[in-house]
Amino acid sequence: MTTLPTAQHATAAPTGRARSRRWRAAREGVINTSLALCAVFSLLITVAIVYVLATEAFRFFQRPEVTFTEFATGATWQPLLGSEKKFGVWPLVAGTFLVSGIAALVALPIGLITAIYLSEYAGPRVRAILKPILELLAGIPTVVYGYFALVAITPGLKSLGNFDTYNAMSAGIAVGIMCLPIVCSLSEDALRAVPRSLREGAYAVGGTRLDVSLRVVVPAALSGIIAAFLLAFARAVGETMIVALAAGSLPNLTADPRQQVQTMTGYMAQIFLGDAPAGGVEYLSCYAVAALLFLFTFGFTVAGHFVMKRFREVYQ
Amino acid sequence: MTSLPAQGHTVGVDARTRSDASRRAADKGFWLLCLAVTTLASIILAVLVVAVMVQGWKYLSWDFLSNYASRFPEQAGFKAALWGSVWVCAVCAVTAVPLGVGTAVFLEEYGPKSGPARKLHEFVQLNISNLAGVPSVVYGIIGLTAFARMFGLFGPANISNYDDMIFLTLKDSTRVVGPSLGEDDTSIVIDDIRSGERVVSLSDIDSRKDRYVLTHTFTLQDGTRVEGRLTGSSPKSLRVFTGSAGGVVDVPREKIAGYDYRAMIEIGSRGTPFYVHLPFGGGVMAAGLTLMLVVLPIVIVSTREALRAVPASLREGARALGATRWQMVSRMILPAALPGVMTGAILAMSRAIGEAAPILVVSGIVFIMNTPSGLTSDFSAMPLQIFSWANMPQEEFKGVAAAGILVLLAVLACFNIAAVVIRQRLQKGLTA
Repeated sequence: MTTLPTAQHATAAPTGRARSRRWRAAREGVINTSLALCAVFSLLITVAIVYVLATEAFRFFQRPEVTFTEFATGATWQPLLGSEKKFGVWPLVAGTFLVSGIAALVALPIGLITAIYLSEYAGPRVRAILKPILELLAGIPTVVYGYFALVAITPGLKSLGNFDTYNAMSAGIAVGIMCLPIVCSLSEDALRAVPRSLREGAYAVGGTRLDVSLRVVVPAALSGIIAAFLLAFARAVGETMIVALAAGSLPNLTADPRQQVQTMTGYMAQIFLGDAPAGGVEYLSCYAVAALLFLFTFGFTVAGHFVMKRFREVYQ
Repeated sequence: MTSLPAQGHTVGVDARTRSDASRRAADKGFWLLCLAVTTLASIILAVLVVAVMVQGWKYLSWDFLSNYASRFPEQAGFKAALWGSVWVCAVCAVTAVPLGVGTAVFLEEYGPKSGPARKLHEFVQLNISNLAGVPSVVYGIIGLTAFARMFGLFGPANISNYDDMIFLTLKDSTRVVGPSLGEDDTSIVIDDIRSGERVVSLSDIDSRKDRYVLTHTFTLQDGTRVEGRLTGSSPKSLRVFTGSAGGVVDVPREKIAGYDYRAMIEIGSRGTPFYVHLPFGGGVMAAGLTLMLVVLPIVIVSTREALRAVPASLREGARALGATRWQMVSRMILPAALPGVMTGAILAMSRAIGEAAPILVVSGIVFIMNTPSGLTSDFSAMPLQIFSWANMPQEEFKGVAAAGILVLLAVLACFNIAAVVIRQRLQKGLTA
């Protein structure tokens, strides 16, 4: 079938229709290729992330003042003190998980309860009010939450107890508020995906709304809820502007939320604010910290998607 | 029915069954808890808005929008940041929307049924969901390396730093090289690297070249080479910053035997909007492209949803009439999905306009007194300016930051209203 038109072409002058068909096929080919290139570009981004972080982190570990063992096990992070530079990453990791842990304690219960309320209790009118509020919260830039932590949460905490001017608690609460809409909307999606028949069965045997919600719907949607938690936690770990404003800039291996801490992201912000010389060891240390941060968030995201996929297989 | 379990309880037949009354009470209690928690979320939002309003209201004025940044809170303005955000978001939109829509069309409409292409498809989808989870500060670091410094391919650019050098050949064929110290109608004052400050009359100049120099290489009379950027000079010597090799070196002017340089590659003429230099440095272009990386997954996901919402009958109809795949996509599906695509693009841009972390990494805090003039100009962006105000020790600047937040939130509100209006148009279109 394909040879026939070309044979005609060779012998006779091409007809208008044949020429347009050929042109059309060429155009389709070009468009196919360029669309595929768009898709390949997103793969290239991943390749670039892994390549840049790996090579620059490698250069960091090759520096004479740095050893990998010290980075992985050391408990002092002191990159800016002239002669006595120390690169033990644990204070930054501890700071990150302290802030994210507080954020989780704020966002997870409130987010889940709001999701249960929206999915199982609220009528359409309440939903019509609450959903836009959550969308508004989700659309607020994080630097605004950081400002909020600085001017509202920190003074509030200081009036309650012996909190530092910059402290992990204030940043953690603000990060938690930032994560709230993510937890809520993803959990609500999971709850709503539970088939009606399960609810109706539970109501039929005499369950109250609370029994149905907590004993039937939430267990049925559990993997979706866990996925929501994991994805929100990944966001909390990677949040930068709130901790840069409110958590402080002292790498501090502590579990006390009243003290100031520095997170991995906060350290990066500090270095790039100070315009550290390119090629300097502090500057390179950012790549190693970024690589570690990428590994953490990648782990949480992959785990979240894995759990979510399993959940989908059960109900769809 | 209600009495039976209650009776059972009193006899103790089934201790696990709670009484109806207590179950109802628990249900009511949980409902109240829900109400309290959701009210809390609304109160948080209200407190946030009120706190910002109270702090920022008195600094918000027309002057605030038309002034540049200042050391004095009463005179501090938002103009540079506002226009910087406009430029950066324009670059971001022009790159992210076509790339994102293209990827989404490829994933939704060009789905191969089998073979390695199918594997590519699945891999791209998995990859996009992972890209959405990458923290924006990591994108900032990638943007810094890939866009601002371009992997060091064009010279070790230290972010946006470069030396603006003038290369003159005089009519007696001597050469004068150095940064300009001042110019007027008849002469140029130049800090010549060999002879120091020198006035050159315009009538003596045979040719003139302006270059942004990334690194200078000075060969001294004893054969040593010093490579780096100029950080200062005195009549006797040049101060050269050598970067990683170990700080600052003073090069005596009379010992310079040879001079070489690595300049930026410049495309277009300076001062025009489309003037670009390579590497991009920490300007509008690098920041816009970095934000493109941040919002690309959002554009892709929202476009895919919009494409999925187009009824299958449209596709079948187009195919039945003999349309090619691209004809079907470009004439039927994309127009039908356009409102959804645009809503997604607008929401992605509202994310981009509020992102501070990637811009902070790529550009740092820039204190500038003008709006961007071209694609590689230095700039400041709204969230970054807010951050630097909020970070200042003086209490008054917290109020200025709040005024900035009000402007930023107003811009975001406009974006969201536009998205809602377009979404409603979409719903009308489908029901009609």
